[in-house]
Amino acid sequence: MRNIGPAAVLAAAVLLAAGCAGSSGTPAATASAPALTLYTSVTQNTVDAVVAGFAAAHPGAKVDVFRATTGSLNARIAADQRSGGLKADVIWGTDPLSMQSYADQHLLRAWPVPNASGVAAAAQARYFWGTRWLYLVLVTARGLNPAPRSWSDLTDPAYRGVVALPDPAAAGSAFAALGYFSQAPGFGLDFYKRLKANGATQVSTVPEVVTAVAQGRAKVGLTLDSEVRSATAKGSPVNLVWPADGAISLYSPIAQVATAPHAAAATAFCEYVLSADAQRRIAQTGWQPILPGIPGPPQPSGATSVSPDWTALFGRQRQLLQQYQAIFGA
Amino acid sequence: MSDALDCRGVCLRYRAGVPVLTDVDLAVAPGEVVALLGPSGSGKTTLLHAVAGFVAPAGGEIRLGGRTVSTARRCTPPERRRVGMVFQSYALWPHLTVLDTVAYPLRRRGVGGAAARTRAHELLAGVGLADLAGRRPAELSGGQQQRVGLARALAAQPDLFLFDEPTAHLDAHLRGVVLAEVAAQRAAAGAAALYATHDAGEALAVADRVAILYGGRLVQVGTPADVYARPAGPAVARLTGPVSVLAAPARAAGPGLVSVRIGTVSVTVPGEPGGRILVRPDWAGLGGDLPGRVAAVRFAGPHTDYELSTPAGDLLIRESGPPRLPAGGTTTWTLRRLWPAGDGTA
Amino acid sequence: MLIAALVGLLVVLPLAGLVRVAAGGGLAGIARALAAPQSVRATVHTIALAAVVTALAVPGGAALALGVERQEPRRRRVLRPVVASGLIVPEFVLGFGWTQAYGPAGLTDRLAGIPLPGLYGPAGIVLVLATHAVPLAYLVVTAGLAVRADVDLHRAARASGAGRWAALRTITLPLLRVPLLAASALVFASVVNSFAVPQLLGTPAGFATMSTLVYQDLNLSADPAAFTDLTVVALAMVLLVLVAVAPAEVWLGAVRTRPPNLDPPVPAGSGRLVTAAVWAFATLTVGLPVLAVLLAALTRAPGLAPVPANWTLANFADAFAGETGAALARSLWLAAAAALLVPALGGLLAGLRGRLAGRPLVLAVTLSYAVPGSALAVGVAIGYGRWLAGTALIILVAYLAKFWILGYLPVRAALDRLSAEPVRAARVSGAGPATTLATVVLPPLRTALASAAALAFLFAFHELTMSSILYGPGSQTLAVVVLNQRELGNIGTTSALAVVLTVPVCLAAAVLLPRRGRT
Repeated sequence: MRNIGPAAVLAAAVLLAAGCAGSSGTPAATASAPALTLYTSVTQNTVDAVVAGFAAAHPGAKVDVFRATTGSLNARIAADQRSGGLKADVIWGTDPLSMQSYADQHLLRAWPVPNASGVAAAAQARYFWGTRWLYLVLVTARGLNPAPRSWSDLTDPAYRGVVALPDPAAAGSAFAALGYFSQAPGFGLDFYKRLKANGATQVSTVPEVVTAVAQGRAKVGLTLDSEVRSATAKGSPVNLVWPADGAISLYSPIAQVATAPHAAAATAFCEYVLSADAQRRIAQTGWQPILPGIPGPPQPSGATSVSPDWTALFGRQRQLLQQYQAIFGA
Repeated sequence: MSDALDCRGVCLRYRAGVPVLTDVDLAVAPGEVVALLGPSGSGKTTLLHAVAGFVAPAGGEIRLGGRTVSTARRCTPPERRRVGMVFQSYALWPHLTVLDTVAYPLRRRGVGGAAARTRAHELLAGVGLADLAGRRPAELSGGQQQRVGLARALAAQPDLFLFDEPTAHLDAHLRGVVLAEVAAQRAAAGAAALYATHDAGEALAVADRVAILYGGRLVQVGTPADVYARPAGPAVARLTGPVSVLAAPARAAGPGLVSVRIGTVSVTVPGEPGGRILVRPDWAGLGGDLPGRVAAVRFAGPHTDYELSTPAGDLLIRESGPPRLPAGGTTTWTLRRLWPAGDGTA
Repeated sequence: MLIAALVGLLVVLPLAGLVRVAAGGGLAGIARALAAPQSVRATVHTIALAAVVTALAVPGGAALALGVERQEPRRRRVLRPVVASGLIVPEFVLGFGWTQAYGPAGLTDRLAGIPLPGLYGPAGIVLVLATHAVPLAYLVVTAGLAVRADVDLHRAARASGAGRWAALRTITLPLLRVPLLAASALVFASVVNSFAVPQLLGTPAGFATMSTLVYQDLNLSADPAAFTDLTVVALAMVLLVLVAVAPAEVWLGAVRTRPPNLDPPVPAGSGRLVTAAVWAFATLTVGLPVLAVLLAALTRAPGLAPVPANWTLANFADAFAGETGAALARSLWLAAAAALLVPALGGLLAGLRGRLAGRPLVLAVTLSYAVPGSALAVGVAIGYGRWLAGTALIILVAYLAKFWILGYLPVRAALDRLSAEPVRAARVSGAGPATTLATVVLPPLRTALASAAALAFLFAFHELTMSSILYGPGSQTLAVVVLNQRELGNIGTTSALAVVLTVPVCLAAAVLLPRRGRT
């Protein structure tokens, strides 16, 4: 009985807090203007630019964005599925692997925009299409001599102990390198054994590779081209080296959710992301547009790219990681 | 033979700057018991802590058995001073049994486990706690706890006992029992003791000499009879027992005699001259020439206290036996002796 | 009844959601997930890490507690916040700061050519986590010191002939057994749970713990099997903490002590030494790393020397572009709500002490603290997503579930010191139950409630994982912004946000801690 007093106070406080916090808006869909919920792991400034463009093209359009790292996004989707279904209309990811898992779980609708043209066949799947290219390239400390020219240079004794690699478990983009090398003739997982033997170290995320090289912890690293460009723009003492044997490319896919409550709006958004206007906005935030006609960030002349066979990688992610960790783990 | 304790000019202040002890000079002869009497906050505990080595003096010197143990520069740690301390809070270790507690000082002095326990048993038997040896402090009454504390201090076979108001947390009956125990055991051990208390009765009863500490200074040191009969001021007088202060000047009237005028009546009694006078309850009696009115009567069993309103102020008179007067009436009284109140606050 | 219902709603429901997912693969699935080589490795690493950090931090915290708490009050007031500084700085900022201060190309490397060897790897993780755990142990032992180890008990030992060390060994340490055990349990649980430091310092060395394994599985959790596995590992962490904490909780419940003596402590002679040691510890473990973060926040781009010529406030401007201001305000509000409700919840639970029903409830609350944030967030989303998805309320629910224990511990410790008599006195004086609570029970608990509120605020404000999974339109928290900036790879902006994350709490602590020292 002694506890009734405080209990009542607490109950009142909880209800009060509930009232305050609960009032923060639940989206109200209107019939005319498109309204949708977007789940994405694409970097914030790119999402902001594209959503703003969509709103300009469709006056009154309202896009609720949930942006999170790939891991948090996956957790949110897993939780959604177990509490009344996916609450998103559109998923815009960073790499094709997670997206394929969703497709395998029948969460996605077959590609809804038949008329989109110009997207390379390599960036098309049954349920999702690419929206931009990401390139894995080399970053070097300014003044490093000789600078490496190709991927295979990384196992050269000249670079013993100075190579930094991103953790392929940390993000899909970093995994693309592991996926590619595991398949590429002349590399394979043996390439990682040689890297390890040459004293290469693993850092956690892709941007951290650039930081490590800029600070001098490493002299060469494997990272995304946009990271290097934004670092050099701020004056960091690093250089971008486009590997002679080709940057490893991956595409950032978009898909419509099968159970999308706002299917028409979702389709409109997917269509817009592949429009020239949206592609230019993507380019302005530092990424290579998927549409060939739109100029992206500058690339060295003769730059080539290679790409993993995604279909062969689908479903093999954990197994590959375990093999990798057997080499690079403690 | 050197004094058991010799404090010379001991000064101590906490960092905040307020002096806690100022120029304390105090010696305790071997086998002597000195009561440290003072109100709470007067510095009694701090002085004991300085003697035990828990705090370092800022100035002065403390010697134990002729050995210098504390100066402002150098302090012998407590465990090497051979003092035994009994705490107001008992300070019994909750995780040790009574037996282990008493054996503790012996163990620390390198006595073997079995021998220490045997000796601890004897000490516990000495304080009447032999059958409680296996208990923990939480299972003992306050009086029992303090007797364990006493046994522990005895076990150390110290040259000097430090008692920090050992009976302060006990009720009146237990207080007497524990006090008697403390006195008897101390006497048997034969060691000197410094006994801090704020209770006049206790101080006068246990001590060979009483040292009165007031505001961090020693204001009077003397035998119990001396500090009772000739207090250094009204505050000391109040500390050392019940007393009344009357606003009546005492003028010299011969060797050892003074004349004092109360109301319209003058009397000549033994005493010293002074502006105001101190009167102990047993220095006056009912009946006689001096006027007064009975304000209150309190019966206390063996004696009765009468509070009188006199022309010179309120006066307490203590007479043996049951009340002889009702409150509210007028009466007369006699002054048998007095002591001047002095000028200072002490 | 109400408390049981609240525990059910806030703690059991989310945990049950996780159990349901984990059990989805059947017993075989659970066994497979636990027996996988990377799970075994991560489990061994986690247990070793927790054991070593506990073995370092608890004696360290206890030594500091004994050194600092036995100083005179004024010196103590200054030293307390210095010791606590390691706890005030978010784990993520601390780890990042250490890499910037002591890592290759860090401050010491730049200035003297001396990087800390082994910073990236288990040794570095142990060092940084111990830095974070020492103040935690210090706080628990200090509370115990006040209740259980009266200074007179120490004095009695010294007067009985025990030297400094003998007194420590035979009296003080045995008396502190319970708080030391509690501190060990708390530190162990915190290390099992810690993510940012193992992720930051362990990944480069390929050193995985259970929490980084959960994070890795989270990244792959588009695959339902990976998602199931991550819940299995998360629940295994709960089990691990259960093994460590349950005995301590049983012990804590068993011991009662009497009120302490309020004597002023002994001004020990070693004051200057202790002061120097505390300052040196705090400067090396917290001061320099935080300075390094500040320098990184002020420097234009990584790799440039942190000299005034390269300084800029642009990073702070970037950090506050867009949503950050609103998110900061929202984080502050959420933390304030947690600071209000967590002590209330903790007080309710602490009020159950001595009743049989209390034990399992306390255990449940302890366990929800042990679940990694990402997993608990998924549990909360499963339990409440249907109704609360995307609102700030669901984040608050997750905070309450996770941080309830922080409200319970200090209030429990304070209640231990309270006797029933003042309550009875108030009732016979004519006060009703509510008036008694307000006028007699709560005032002496003020310090404990305040420290519970401060802890809840601190942890909620620093929380990065749960809110980044649970937020929705209009409920972005600072965590979302920080993680975004980290992903953008902008070290300057991330550092600027780290400063933003640290400074308000430091200011609040600077104001609050000395005041608490006085009471």
